[in-house]
Amino acid sequence: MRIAIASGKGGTGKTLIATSLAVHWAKQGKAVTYVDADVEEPNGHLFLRPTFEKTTRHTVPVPRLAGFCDGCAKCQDACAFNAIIALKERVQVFDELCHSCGACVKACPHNSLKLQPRELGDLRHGMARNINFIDGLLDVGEARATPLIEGVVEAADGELVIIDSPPGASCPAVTAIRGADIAVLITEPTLFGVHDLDLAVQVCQKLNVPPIIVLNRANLGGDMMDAIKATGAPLVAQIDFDPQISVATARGELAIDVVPGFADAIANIAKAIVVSEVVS
Amino acid sequence: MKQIVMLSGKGGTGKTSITASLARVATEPKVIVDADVDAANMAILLPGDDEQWRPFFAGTRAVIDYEACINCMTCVWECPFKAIRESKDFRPVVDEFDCEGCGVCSQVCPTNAFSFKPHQAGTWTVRDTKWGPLVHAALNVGEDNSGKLVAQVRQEGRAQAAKTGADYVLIDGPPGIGCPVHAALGGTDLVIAVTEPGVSAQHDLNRLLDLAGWFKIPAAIILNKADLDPKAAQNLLKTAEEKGAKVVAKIPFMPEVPMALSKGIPLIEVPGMQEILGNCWQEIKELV
Amino acid sequence: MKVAFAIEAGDGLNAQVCPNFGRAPRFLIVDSKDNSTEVLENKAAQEAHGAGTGAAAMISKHGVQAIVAGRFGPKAFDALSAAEIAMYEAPADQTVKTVLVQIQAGTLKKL
Repeated sequence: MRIAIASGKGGTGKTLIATSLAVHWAKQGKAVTYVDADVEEPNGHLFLRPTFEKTTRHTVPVPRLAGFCDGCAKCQDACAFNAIIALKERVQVFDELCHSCGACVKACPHNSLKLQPRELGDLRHGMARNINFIDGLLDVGEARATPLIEGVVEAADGELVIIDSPPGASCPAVTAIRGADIAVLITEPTLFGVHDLDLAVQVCQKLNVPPIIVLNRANLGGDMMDAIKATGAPLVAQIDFDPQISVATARGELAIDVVPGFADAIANIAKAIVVSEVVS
Repeated sequence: MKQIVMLSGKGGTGKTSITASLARVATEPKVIVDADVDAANMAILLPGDDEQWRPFFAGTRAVIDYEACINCMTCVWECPFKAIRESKDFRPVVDEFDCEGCGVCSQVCPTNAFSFKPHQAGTWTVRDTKWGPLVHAALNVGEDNSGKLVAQVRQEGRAQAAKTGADYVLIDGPPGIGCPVHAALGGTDLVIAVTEPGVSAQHDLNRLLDLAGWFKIPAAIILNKADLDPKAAQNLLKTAEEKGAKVVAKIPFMPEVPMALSKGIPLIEVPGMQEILGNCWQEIKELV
Repeated sequence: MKVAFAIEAGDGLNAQVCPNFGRAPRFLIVDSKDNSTEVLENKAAQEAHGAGTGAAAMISKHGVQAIVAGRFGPKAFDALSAAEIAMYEAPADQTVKTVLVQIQAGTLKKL
C-alpha cells in the first residue's frame, strides 16, 4: 500500500506523522519504506537518523549538441519552454528550463541534438530502525524539484510505502501524491489550514487518490469542523497540541519515543489508514 | 521605492501572518504582494474589496482535431508526459491536467491533427485594503510554473507602487527554494527569512541564506517562537551571524497567537505584538 | 550600431528604461547611425518559462549589438553573453535618450 502524507499548508506536522507511522509499523514487523519527497527541504532524516548506504546522483535528460549546426533555429522554434536558443553555429541550452520532452531533438534537421543525463540532486538510500529510508536532496539553485521527486517516489517499493510529500497543491505535491493508494491530509484548525486543506483535497480528487484527514493541534484553534466537513473528505483522527511534542520535535527527537500518549495517537491513525484503504 | 521579500524555506514558521502584520504596523504608503500563489493566504488576513478577477494564462494544451485524426496512436506512445491516452472508444484523448504543451505530439502526428490552445492556470486581482493595495492571485490546483504568476503579481505590485507613490513593496514569498522562490527573489532589495528554533528550520535556513547569497541579495532574519528551545535558537542566531544576516526581530512563542489567527484576529492585536513588530519594522527600514 | 532598450512606459527616445529584461513589455531598438527607432513587442514576457532566454533569442535575431535594462537575470545574462550582445545596466527612471548619451560618451560601462 502506498500512502501519501500531504497537506495544503506547510508546517502542519506531515513529517512528524509520516516518520511516526513508519516507526509504528516497523515495530509491528511490517516491511516499511519511508520516502521523503520534499526534496527542496527534506527533514525526515533529522528524525529517523538513517545510516545512509547508497547515494546516487539523480539525473534528468537534457539536449546537447552532438553534430553539425548551422544556426537554423528549428530547435528554438520547437521548444515550448525557451530552454534552447540558436546562436550562429551552435546552441545554448538552459537546463533549468528544460522539461526533457525531446521536441528539439526531433526538430533538428541534421539530427545533431542528443539527450544526455544532467545531475540535479542526490538520491539517498538508507536504513533506520528497520525502516527502508529514501530521500532526495535537490542541489541549491535548481529550479525544478519535480524530476527528483519522481525519482524518489519511483525508487520506493515495499509492503507499506509512506510518501512524506512537499506542502502545497501545485506540481511538487501532485508529483508526490500521484499513484498513491490513499492520501492522508494533515491539517490544523486555523483559517489557513482549512483553506489550504480544501486545495489539497481537490488535488487528490484530480489524481483519483482518495483522501482522509487528520487534524493536528486540534485544541489550538477555532471550530473548523464545518469547514473540514465541507471539503468532502472524512476526518479520521485528531491530535491535541502538546508542548512536549513541539519540544521533542524541535530537538530532533521522535515524539513517539519520548511523549507518553503520542504512540497511541499514531496507532489510531495507522488503524484509520488501513480501514479507509480497505473501504475504498 | 524598496522591495522586501519574506521567505521561510520550511512552511509553518509564521511568514504570512508576520508579513500581514508588518503591513498593518507600517504607516508608510506601501503595496503588498502575495506571491505565495500555490496556497495564497494573505487575502484571509487583509480584508478589502477586490477588483474584478483577471484570468492568468500560462502555457498551452494540446487539442486534437478528430476530423483529421486517424487513430494511429503514435501520439500516445510518443508523449513524454504520458498525457495522451487511448480511450474506451479507441481514440487518443489529451489529459489537460498532465499535458505540458511541449508539442511532441504535433511533431509525430502524420495528419497534422494537433493545435494548441492557451491554458488558464489561475486568476489574479488587486484588492483595496486599509493598508495599501494588495495584489493577490490564486493558482488552480495542480498547476506548475507559478514562477510566471509570481512575476505577474510582482509586476502589478510595482505598477501599483508607481501609481500610489508607495515607498515599499512588501512581498509574501512562497515556501521552499525552487522556481517560484527565484521569481519572488529576483530584483528585490532585502530578503527576510522567517525562521523558528528547531533542527528542521535550522537546516532550511542554511539553504535559504545560501540561495539569497547566490542571488546576491542582502538577508535578515526574524526568529519566531524564539523561546521554544533556547539552545536551538542560539544556533540559529549563530548561523545568521556567520552568513551576515541581521536579526530584525525575536518573537516569543505564545499560544494566544494560533488561537487569534484561527479566529481571524490580526496578530498585532495579541498583547505585546504591536511593539515587537513595530520595532521590527524600524529595523527593516534601516536595512533597505 | 543598433542598441536595444527594455522599456516600460513612454514613447520613442523619451521612453523609460524597464527594471527587468526578460519580462519587459517591449524593446525599443535605436540605430545610432540616424537615431531611427523600431519597437519590438516582447512576446517572451507572456510565456510561462524562460522569458529571459526567449527575449535574448528574439533581440539577437534583429541584429542588435547592445541591450540596456535595469538588470539581467542569470539566464538572460548567459544567453546574451553567448550571443555576444553587450549589456548595460541603467536605473529604471532614466530615459532612453539620457542613457544613449551616456553610452556614446563612454560614461556608462558595459557589464
